[in-house]
Amino acid sequence: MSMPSQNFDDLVADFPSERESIQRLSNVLSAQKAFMTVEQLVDRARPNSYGAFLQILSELVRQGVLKRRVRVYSPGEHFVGEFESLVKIPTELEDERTGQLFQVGMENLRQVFRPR
Amino acid sequence: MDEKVLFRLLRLARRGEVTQLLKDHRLPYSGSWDELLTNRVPHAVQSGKVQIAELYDLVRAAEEFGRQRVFLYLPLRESRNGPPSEQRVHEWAIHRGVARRMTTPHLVESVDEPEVVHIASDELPSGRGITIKEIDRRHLRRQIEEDDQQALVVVTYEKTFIRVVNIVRIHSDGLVEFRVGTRGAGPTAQATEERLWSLLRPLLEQEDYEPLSLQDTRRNLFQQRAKLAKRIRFSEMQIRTAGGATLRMKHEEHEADLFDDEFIERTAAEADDSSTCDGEYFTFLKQVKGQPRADVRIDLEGPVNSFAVIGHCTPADYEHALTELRRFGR
Repeated sequence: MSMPSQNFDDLVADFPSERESIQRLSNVLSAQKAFMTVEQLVDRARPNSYGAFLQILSELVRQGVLKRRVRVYSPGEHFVGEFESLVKIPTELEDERTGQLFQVGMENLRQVFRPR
Repeated sequence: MDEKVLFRLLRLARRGEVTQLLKDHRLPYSGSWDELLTNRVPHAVQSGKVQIAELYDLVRAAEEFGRQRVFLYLPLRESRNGPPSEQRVHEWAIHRGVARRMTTPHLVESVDEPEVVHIASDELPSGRGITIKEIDRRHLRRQIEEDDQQALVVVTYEKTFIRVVNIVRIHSDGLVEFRVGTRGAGPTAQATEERLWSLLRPLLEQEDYEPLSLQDTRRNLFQQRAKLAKRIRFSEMQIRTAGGATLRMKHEEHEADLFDDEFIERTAAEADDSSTCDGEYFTFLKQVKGQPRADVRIDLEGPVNSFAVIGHCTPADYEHALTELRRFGR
């Protein structure tokens, strides 16, 4: 999948110190089909500033280049569900693999991104 | 049968199934779910247009298939006498004080102790067999308080009891199948299976049976993965090498096939005949024509004669899954 280069050029203009990490991010997203966590993207893009990188991801989501989802995993590390935002996640969910109910905490959540 | 309890248990069924039943009898089916269960269905029964047995079948279909761990056994070769006769089942039921359950199911919403509620003669894929249905209770645990004291953290949970269904089926080809409800917390599936073996005495004796190993099923499904791509989607796989090392493969994308990933496929192809499949998690994919009519998720990990059906499925889809798992083991 090729990424719209205009979006990335605009980002470089807004975050000039992240020129190289934005280029690496563009390359990663062009080759990537699956969802990736923030940590995986940071690992690949190697930004200078974590905070700036989060702003870059948010901007790409806002522009519709990236899709952001929140995934819930049970204490047994089973995938339980995927939600558009935190507010849509119930406080309790059931892991169907084990039949166990669990209270959803931050440790059960993974924010993931994927090219649209 | 207690009709009021039956109408309440009907909530376990899918609304579409209840609506379809009313449609089939050319009865009105509009209104809310509550309206259907408290008004339309009772009226349909009172008018004699819908039989109680039809509603009971809907409850059976809704709660007897899926969300269970299944254990399979075959009679030992030297004791293959076929399934017990109806007379022997009747004698056993008298011995256990549940003879009435052969003619009248006991409709209960909840129990304090496991209770045999129905002994049915059912048409199964291999011919007429016996189904013994037990209602059991397990619980869901919710943390309601956490008290952080000096050297202790005291956590208080609230228990909510839930109804689960355990099933024993004795097939005409000798297969004995235990389906243990696994929702919530409670005894392990193996512990419940052991208890059910005790319950079956003296109708069936565990020492006359051997576990039906699904090890060949695991291997054959894995080896035939390319051919099965339109029927089975693999999500997890664990391979153990002859040297004792374990390779666990898992796809993070829950709707993707593990072996669509080139690296995973290349790696899996390296597994030779001396490797064994320790476990698989896969989905029998919904088919446009034929079974299953909806995806059926199977956890083929754990005891070698066991698998788990994740989520609810219809009776027909369950029978398809069981038949396929046995077929791939031959």
